[in-house]
Amino acid sequence: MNAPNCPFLGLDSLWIQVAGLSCNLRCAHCFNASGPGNRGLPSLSREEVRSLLGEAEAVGVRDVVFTGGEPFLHSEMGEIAGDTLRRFPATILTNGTLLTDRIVERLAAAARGSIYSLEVRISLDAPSEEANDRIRGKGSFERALEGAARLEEAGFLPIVTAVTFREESDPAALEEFERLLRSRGIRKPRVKFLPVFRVGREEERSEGYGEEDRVTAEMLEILGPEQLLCSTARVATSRGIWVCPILVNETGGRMGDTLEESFRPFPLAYGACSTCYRHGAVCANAATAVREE
Amino acid sequence: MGTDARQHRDRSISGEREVSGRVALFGGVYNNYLALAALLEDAPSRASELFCLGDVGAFGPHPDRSVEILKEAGVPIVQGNYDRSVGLRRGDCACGYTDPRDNHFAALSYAYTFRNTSERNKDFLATLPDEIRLLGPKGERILLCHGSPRRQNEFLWESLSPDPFLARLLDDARCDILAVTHTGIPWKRRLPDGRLVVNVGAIGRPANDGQTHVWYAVLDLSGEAFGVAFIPLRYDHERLADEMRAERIVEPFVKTVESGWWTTCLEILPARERARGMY
Ligand SMILES: [Fe+2]
Repeated sequence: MNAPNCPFLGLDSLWIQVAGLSCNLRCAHCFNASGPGNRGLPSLSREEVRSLLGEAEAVGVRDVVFTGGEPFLHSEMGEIAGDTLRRFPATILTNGTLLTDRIVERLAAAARGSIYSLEVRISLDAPSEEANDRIRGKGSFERALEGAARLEEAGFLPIVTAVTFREESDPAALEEFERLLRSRGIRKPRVKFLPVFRVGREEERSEGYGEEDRVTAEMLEILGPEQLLCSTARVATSRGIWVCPILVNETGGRMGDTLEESFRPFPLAYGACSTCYRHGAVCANAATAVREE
Repeated sequence: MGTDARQHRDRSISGEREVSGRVALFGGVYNNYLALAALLEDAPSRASELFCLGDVGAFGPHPDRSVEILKEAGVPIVQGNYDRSVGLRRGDCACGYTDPRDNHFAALSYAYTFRNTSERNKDFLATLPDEIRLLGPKGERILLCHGSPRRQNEFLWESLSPDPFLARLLDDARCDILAVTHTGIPWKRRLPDGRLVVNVGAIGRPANDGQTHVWYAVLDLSGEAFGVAFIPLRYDHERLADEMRAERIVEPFVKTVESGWWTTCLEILPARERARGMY
């Protein structure tokens, strides 16, 4: 079967794999298998990020998203956030456990100097310590919530993202998360559920994707390619440009050495593409609902 | 949705109409016929022509009244996502929300508007153009659309619209002045090259600033360089709240009219805009 091509419609979101795949946690479901000592992708220097921002400006990017690994393992993440916010809205995806007063104050200074939004997304996978730490590791629950509270005190509105293993939206779980966040002093809790991607470390836990988990040309026609991240985003890494953050461990996901080279259609040949198809706008900051079939 | 978006992009640029002096631009009527009537009183003293940027319906009462007032006044209207959905007898407003609770409240107001819009007015909304192009006295190319030039329901928030991104939208749409609505919060940006982007806000509900008045914009083409000003518009918001309650429109919407703070559809707001509000 031929995979349908997702056209490239212009670069709205530039993702930057700023800390490579290095992370202080080793979550059981991590889609890119980040963890302590994962040297699969070296991190990017502040200078390299600056040069990417220049390229992003030239092509009219709308926002910049920092991911990893854990971005705050990068010793210059605060400065990089400042460089970025002078020119673009930015989002940082973090596990929240390394948000010291010092880094939060740097982020706050960067945000104060900008007219653009800085979003900080903290991963938390269950509203209880026991269930969360089983997936994300011992102590991660408390430390992430402390990080969220520090952001709140500094005037941020952190978004908590939770990987959900359920297919339908779950109002009870949402309320539990909100109650938890309010109890930690967060006045405007923002919670976003993410689907689980059966790749990376998760592939070893579940059975991965089957042959039937594929996007067909007909499906793409119905949905419209603008609903998929790969029509308007690319991921910059120290080893070149990838099509999306989910496929950074797939050689087929590599689109070229430069952004310019990566501006071409991508064949939706992976099982993970079917998860994006079903959930739509997976990686956007606004909370997502499961698509009705 | 995919096919629609592509058709939208393909629809060609049609007849540019010449304008000069001052032009009033407003959007997001959201059934607030009282604010609309107030606007028709207020704007003629400030501007020679009026244009509506779409979304005649939404959470206010008596949808047909706003449509009739606009038709009667002969105001040109750009089609908003609401107008398109109601006109094409769609199942939802295509507002572009992604959060389940945002969608819950959006569905309530859509059902009310749909039920209470006459067949004739639905047909009328279906015929609206999805953009209007104007030509200023110095050859300024002015584009009026609802969400963004590329998508009827794209949200252009101030804190999520960096200059190079806006410049790309203007380049692609071949215009010097771009006016949009859809988000409900007014803002403007002068690009380094002098081009202008303005989100005119909405006259249907307050701008999440704790004030009960609403906003529209006046584009000034009379001077050396074009510019835009935001005009606060007062109307009888207490009467609107009473009529909403009489129509059994859900309380959170009424509260917004009374307090000036958004109570629903908040998850779509970027951090900066969300931080300014009460909820
Ligand atoms: Fe709209």
